Amino acid sequence: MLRFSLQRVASALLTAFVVVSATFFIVRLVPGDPATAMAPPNARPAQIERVREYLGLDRPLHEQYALYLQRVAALDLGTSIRTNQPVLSDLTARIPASIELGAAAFVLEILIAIPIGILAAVRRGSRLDLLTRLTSSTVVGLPVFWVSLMFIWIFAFLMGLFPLGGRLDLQTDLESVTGFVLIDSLLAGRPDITLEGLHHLALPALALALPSIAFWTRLMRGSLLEVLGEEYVRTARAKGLKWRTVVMRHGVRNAMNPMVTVFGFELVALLTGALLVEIVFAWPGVGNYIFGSLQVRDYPVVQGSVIIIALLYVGVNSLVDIAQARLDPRVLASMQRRT
Amino acid sequence: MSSSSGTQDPDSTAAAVIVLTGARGRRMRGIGAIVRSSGTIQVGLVIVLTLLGLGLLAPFLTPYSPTQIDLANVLQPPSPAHLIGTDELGRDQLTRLLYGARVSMVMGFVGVFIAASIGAAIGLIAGYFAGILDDAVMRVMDAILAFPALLLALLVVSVVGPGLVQVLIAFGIAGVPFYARLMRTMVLSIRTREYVAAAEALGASPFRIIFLHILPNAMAPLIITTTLAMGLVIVGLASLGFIGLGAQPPTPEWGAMLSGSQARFFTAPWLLLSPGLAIVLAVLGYSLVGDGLRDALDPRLRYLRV
Repeated sequence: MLRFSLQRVASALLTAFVVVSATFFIVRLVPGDPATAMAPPNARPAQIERVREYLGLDRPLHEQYALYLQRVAALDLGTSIRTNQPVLSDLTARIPASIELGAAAFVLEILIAIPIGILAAVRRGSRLDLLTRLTSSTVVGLPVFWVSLMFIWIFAFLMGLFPLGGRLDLQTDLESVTGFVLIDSLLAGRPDITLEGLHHLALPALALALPSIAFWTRLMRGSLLEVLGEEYVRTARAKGLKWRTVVMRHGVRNAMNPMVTVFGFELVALLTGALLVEIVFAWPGVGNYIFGSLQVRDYPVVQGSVIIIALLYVGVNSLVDIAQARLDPRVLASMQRRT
Repeated sequence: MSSSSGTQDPDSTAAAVIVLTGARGRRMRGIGAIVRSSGTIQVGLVIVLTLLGLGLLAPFLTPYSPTQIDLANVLQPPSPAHLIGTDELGRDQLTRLLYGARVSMVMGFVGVFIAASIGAAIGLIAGYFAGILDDAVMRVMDAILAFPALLLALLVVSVVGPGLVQVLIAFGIAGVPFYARLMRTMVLSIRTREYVAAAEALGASPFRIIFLHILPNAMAPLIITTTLAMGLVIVGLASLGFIGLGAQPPTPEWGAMLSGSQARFFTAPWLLLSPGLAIVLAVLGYSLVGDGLRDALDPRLRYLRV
């Protein structure tokens, strides 16, 4: 197990290196002049020259590459043209908002999808099962940005149940300690602001979660049906255990395995989905930061953010693999066979 | 799919598909039979073909131009002259929707085609020759997998600026590793078969073995995944169009038609509904076909989220 974990970490580091290098080569090899692209629009030739010099574009490719690796290793991702702050500190200031949104969506997914999936599987062929399957195959393909637009239109604009966007009302003043509104408001002893934060969070989190809820429901249903056909389930029934106990203890527990497996995909869905949801809901997270930077062609920000997000993704995915191998020896065996 | 296990073990998938598909002639007849027997596939095909047909016949179906600005008719609500109203530049929304079907349906196909052909070729070659080449290639594929398609598109746009073509290329690249991995596992399992050994003994070239003996027998999962991916690429392109990185005005692309429409909640909500519904319909069509094919050809792929 330790050997496997070490292997996995080593492989993640290697992947991280390839990711960072790939970013370098994509930016350099795609036709177009990075200096012109990265300088502000209508920059004077002298300014473009300065950008060229900073990026080292006037030097041979291998020197550029070495310079670039040095900077990334020192976590120097360049400076935002728009805010004039280092990209990294800009990003860290905005990451909590994105995590809060993603985590809320994930909690909703689990709370909604798993019970529905279990019910649909246990009552296979019932009207509830049919309804679940029809709804989920439509919902799973919904574009998340359009769901967000519709949610705002229906629930915020027409019905007035939720605010139109943002993390808090404009006039609400909350000192940022951790960057998480829900935590900061509790630290400040203001549960009313916590409620306000939840009120703002509900709609974007549900919009982000919706397609994944459909996906997890289908997965849970299929996986549980498969497990309930296993012999150990029949044995448990034969022992005289109650059906409910069999489903919960033997069925659901084993049916959860494939759900952990697709967590990596879920992460991508939440990550890219959050970028779009943030834009529609004016949520001040990483997605909105990148979007705002694109509008003014603040490209160091875009490239720096892409690197950080990709690295986070590689890291989390390795952790998931390790956790999963720790939890389920069968997974460990199949992963070792593959590597 | 760095974290796959048990239920979606590609090795067993490959075996199942080979058993189910059988010889080449039989498989071709098989596809007709599968379509006839599956209501899911039929409904999906009707949706997809209708959207394609509407897109291609757009010039004959509508008297308006999708790009001609008509400032006298800005933001008209639905009426007999403009069935679902006009947009902020007075263009007929239905016309733009029809022409948009061309863009989305065709671009979705092109994006998937790029990814599938490059990915399949890489997977076939890496899997067949194995060894160091295989290791190196698959390592690069793993790294590309770390970039979700949207991030890769952002990266490309940050160098060459926004546009449909560059976004399409980014989506193509992002899809490559999925097909490379899929084909590689198929090859690893097929190349140990006796008919491959027989062809090798007869002195067939690697090229001939890969394309005449291995590829035809690995087609089923490839067809399933490409069909399911079609909807995803359409949504992806629409998402990028929506945030202004994909199709540029005045191109009538469904996502781009929605961009900047938040302010129109108040004045012209009809502009928000139709492009979104069109996207949903296109995605539904492809996923019905894909799901139907998957259920018919290989039930074990059901956990696959392309």
